[in-house]
Amino acid sequence: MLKNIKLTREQVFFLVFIGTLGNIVYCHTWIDDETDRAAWVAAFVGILLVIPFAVWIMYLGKSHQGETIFDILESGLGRFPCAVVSAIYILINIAVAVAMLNMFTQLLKAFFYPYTPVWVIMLFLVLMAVLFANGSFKVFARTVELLSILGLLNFIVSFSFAFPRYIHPKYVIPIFDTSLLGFIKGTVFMTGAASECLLLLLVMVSFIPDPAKHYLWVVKGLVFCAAVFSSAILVIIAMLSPEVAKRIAFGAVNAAKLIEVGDFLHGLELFVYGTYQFIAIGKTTICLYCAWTAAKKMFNNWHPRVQLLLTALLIFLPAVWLNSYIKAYQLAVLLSSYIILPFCVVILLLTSITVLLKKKNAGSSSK
Amino acid sequence: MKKRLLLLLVYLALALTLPGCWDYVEYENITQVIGMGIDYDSKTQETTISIQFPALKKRTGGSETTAPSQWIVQSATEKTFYGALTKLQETVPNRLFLGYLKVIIIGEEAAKYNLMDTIDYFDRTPSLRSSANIVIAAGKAEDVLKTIRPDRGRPASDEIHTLIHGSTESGAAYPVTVNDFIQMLAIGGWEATAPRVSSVAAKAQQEDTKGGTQESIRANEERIGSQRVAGLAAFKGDKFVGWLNEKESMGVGWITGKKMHAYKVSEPAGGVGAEELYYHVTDSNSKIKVRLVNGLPIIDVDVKVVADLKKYSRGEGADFLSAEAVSDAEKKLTDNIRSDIDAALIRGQKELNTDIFGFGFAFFREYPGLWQDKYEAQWANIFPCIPINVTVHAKVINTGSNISKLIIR
Repeated sequence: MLKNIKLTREQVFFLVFIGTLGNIVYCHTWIDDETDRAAWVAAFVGILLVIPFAVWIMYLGKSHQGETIFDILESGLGRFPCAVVSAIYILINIAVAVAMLNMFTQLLKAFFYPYTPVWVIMLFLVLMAVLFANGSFKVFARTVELLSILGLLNFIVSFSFAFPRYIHPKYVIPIFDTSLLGFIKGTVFMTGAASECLLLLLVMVSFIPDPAKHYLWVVKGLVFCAAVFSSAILVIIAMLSPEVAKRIAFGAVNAAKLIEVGDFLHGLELFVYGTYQFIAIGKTTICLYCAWTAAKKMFNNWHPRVQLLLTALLIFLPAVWLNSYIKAYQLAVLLSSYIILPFCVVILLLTSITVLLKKKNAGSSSK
Repeated sequence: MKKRLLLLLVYLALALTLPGCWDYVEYENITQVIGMGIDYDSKTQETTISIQFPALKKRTGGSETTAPSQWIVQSATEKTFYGALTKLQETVPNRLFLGYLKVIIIGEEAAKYNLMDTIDYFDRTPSLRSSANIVIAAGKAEDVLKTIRPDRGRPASDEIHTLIHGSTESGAAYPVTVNDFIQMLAIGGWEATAPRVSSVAAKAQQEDTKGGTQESIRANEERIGSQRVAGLAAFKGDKFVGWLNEKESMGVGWITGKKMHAYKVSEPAGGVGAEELYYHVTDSNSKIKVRLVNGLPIIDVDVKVVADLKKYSRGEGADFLSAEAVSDAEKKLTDNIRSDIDAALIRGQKELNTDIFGFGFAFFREYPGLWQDKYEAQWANIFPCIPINVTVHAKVINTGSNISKLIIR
């Protein structure tokens, strides 16, 4: 059934966009002490540096169209080693979703629903993710298209009211007031954070028609994401100053709170909150879908719906148990710094070796 | 299909019933604080917090809507900021809600000795709008908050809020929000300023306040009088160090490029009515440049002002406003602005030794590496000695709706 799904260029574009904008939306402030005013440049370059890895995945899918990276890996490594790798992949996806759920929920609690229990908000989000994942991936991709455009419009329209009154160019200049080492550290962290999209691409490559030929779909999504995200950081810095922005947990919401339109509209944070909500729902669904896909493979497609609910529960329970913005932030920093990108690189190396060996074997057997 | 529909229905039921229940609150069940005053007594080391809120009552005639019937000022004193706030909450039946807070008035002593408690609270409270204005009271914030003008029928917070935003007209002060204030505290080489507010009680009412006191909680006190927003409070780090009068505040405004839609008044030079010029400033901006000469920073301030001449003489002078007369008016405007700037520089640089002009921040933008490595740590010692060159270019482009004076025959 899965093999029949083929995504369009726009769907791939927006899935990559949402897939990249995960925990990076919150944990980007981690680099501010290193990068200072160049944080937005580090974000731009950091996201762009994910492109080679994304293209690598697309090329691995060239000779195995309609298969996920794990399918390719299993054909080379065998069932048990692939199950181990899949288990790690599931755990990483759960961890990403847990961090995202906690950070978004705490945003909601800080500004809008201080007395609503976290489990209610998280249940709402996880159920929505189950609903999307349970349907066709194609339908989810269409929803992502719609929500991404809505989220972007929300964001752009809100911050368009910030010009020129709330924008202070003096906060942005000089752009590079940091050391080269600090800038590189920040950029590498952003690459690690943005490589959440690689987790999606490991599975999504099977839905892209002729992935090696259409690698530009993914590249364009990443470039767009880099441009949007870095300009969002630039606007926040220009509004709040880097000194204040780096201390704030929810930069865009705080910046939008400052904007006044006439005497009656004080603060546009509600619009920006909408964007954060779309990102949270999209990202949670993506993590759930990726973890579920790997789980289905591990358990040989045993009762997929039960597995979906169990995976959702595996996201929901630790998220409720964690129940802390700071801990979720630290988890996101840990994942971005040390886990996601190295894991993806190891997977890609193993898969590349598998593909090469298979080609070699095919060549020698044909002789 | 049936299963999906069931799932959707369950989901919708949960979505509609679960969120929102815990945070539901009726409008009249929250205390909407519109103004807050913070005082500190350095002798007893106690903090007093005063809040202003509307007393809401249901309108008659069956309507459920509410309207403020009177404005209440309530104060509580405790050893700590949070202690005073907790005590206040004990006296107010509804939950304090800061989302509508317009003005935060910080008393002189609180600004001098205990500012960070206040700033930290506002910095960490998400319900508070960081666009709320901060003012520093000459004397006690509580007195300012409980002063009402009987002819206006408005709460002090509203009145002060209007005065703060109106102060840019005369250039005597300019609005500073919580966010602005935190930025000035956080950015190196830029010390904070905030507008000054003072209240004057009517003579007959000076000691005659209504209301009552019980165990360091004072409720519903008010006094007749009015407030005034003029001048600035200057800080060094988190400490209030002194006041700037209106002339000096205007000087700070010229240097920092504040857009004042102000009438600039040239002081009469001779006898009554001999020489009096009124201008309406239509545009003003400033550029601060930093140069390093033999390791010593030199600041160049270039102020450009465009103004309309509103009144050029009172009886004396030429009938027709010639080009020479306009040039003369431009020169007088230039001199006057220059004297404002000099007054501000003497007060800020020489007397208070605090960089309220942001010269250090300008230095950082010009030489970020040098600033971080060397000058940031020494700036407090260097700043009072650095030479500052000021150039003012004033241009009068318009003389109002006529070109000669009204001659009465």
